[in-house]
Amino acid sequence: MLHSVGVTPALLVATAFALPLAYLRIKTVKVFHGVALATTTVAFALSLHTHLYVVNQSSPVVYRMGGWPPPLGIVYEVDSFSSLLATYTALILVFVVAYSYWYLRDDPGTPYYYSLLLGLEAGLIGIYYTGDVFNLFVMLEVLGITCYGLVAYYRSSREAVEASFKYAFFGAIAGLIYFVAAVLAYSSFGNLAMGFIATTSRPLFRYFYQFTDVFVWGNITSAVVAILALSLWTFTFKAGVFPNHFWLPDAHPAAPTPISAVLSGLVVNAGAYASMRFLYTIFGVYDPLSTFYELSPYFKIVLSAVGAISAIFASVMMIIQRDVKRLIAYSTIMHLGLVFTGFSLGTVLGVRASIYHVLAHAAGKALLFMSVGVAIEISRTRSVSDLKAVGRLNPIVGASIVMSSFSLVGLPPLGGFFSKFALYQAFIEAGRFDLVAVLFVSSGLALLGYFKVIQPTVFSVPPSNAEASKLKELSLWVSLLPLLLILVALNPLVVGGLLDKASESVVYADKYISEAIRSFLEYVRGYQLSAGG
Amino acid sequence: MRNMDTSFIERFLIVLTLYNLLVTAAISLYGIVARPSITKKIISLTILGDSLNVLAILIGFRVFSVPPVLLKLDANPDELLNLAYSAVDPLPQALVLTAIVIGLAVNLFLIFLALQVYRLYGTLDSRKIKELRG
Repeated sequence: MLHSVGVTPALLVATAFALPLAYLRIKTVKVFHGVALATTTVAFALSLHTHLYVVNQSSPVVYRMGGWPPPLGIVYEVDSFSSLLATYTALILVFVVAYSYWYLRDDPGTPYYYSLLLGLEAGLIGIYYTGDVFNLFVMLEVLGITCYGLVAYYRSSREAVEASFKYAFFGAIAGLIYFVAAVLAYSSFGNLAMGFIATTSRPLFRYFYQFTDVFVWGNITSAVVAILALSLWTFTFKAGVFPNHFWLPDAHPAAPTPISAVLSGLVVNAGAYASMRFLYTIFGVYDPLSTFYELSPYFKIVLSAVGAISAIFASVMMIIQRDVKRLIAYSTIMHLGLVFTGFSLGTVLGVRASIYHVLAHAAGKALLFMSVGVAIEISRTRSVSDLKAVGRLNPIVGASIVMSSFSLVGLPPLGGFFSKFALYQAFIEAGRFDLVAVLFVSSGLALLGYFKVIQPTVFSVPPSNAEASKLKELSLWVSLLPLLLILVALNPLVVGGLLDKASESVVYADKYISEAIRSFLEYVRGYQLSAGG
Repeated sequence: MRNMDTSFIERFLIVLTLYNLLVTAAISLYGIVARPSITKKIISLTILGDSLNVLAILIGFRVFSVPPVLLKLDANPDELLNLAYSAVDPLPQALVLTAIVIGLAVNLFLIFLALQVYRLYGTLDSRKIKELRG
């Protein structure tokens, strides 16, 4: 068993709980910056170790909690898709912590901030690693509670408290809805392990496991429709996609800037990840081998409509915003809409493009939020027209703003171009010319929005010398430059192989299923041997 | 036995409980959507959570059953099978226990935020707290 899988979330949660206790004794805030940086670096190293192991082995790894195998106990099942996203998340969070050192400095709330941030990382990595439908609920709530707390970090600000209340209240309802979906899954499949629900969904494997007595629903297909409808409601809420996007443009700007970067770049990906996992691997809605393949036309229509509406709507809303953080928050809704259209197609190419776009958007959006945050800090305003040209005084900040905007628009040498090109190819292959139009129209409209950000921060009046003193900091270089390099490195030549493995692992559930079954059989054999049988 | 003909009273009780839960959930959704007071919204949310938790319990429940506790350490296979056929399903209860603890944390956080909203705005009427446009 690969222990780095189980250790990563546990280490993060343990550190998160230890920080406020340590604050009772240690009053130097700088210590906590150091501890947080060290912890996120260790978490990145552990998740990288897991990722390399999974990719080399080219089959998923099952981590059994307390030794119980899949249908009996809770397991983590890590395939190349989940370990890719977890490693990427851990990597970006290292730079976010480095940026937080510049942003928070001697803020007395720093230990609590890092406590919540490490909890957030544990929740995200837990969502990616888990192989259990109910454990996903627990991890969604861990992620949720830490996010609400971080949005309300400035608790004497009216805006932050109101945004956090809105987010937390609807987040609590979304959590309840997912809870019902998990209970329905248990009642109709008889277990909660993702690998075994996936087994039961494919009739070829039916000899191994049967549907249990269906509790309320007449047949299994209508039960699955209910489960998918309820869980997708929650996932679109987490991803901030059209009907459930209403909390996002309030909550993301109200948070401290590094947290805006985390929420917009990393947290929304959890919704997209869980949607892909449920639609492809677990229930196999797009898998011809699955019992539920007959549902695929409906999910194609609904998901591509949801994605297209949020892409167009958000790019129009971007143009009319005056608050720069709200503008960038609407851009998040647009990009997640494009991700949803990508995997609504049901092809390997579509899923590959979606994963690619998730990666490109995460780095670009985190970098844009963090570099624009410098301009907000120096100008002491969030109004787009009053921002000062910090890009002139510090080359790395200027380069970050320009390059990340260009990447999000989709200009050639950067990651955003290649991911949008992959989406375009997937749409053409599937014959969806309406979605091609959505891709071009939303990118064109968004270009106007990004120029509203680039113009004042790079080409207007530079700040005075007194204001600019905060610009000469090493931690800005440490946090912004690596993200810039990631944006350049997101090239098909570099990440193409990883994306192929990840998308095949999502679409073809074979290895996911066989690894879960193998883990169960291994346990049973071991039990027989030890019982002398 | 699970596969025996379910008696009339068993079906009647389960259907009655089910409709009760659905009506309770509907009333609490009305409270969440239509009541202006934040306090009443939070109370409705807790009622919704409780009714969904009871629904989860109901899924593992079986009328005229025994608790899922094995009284002997060295039970033979027949006794194990007997227990499996007559006991309620303990797993939904474990799920509900987890959901209750998570609900406690979320509700506490919401109540703290409501207190903070009252301190900053001087009111808990959600119609008057509208600085953000959504």
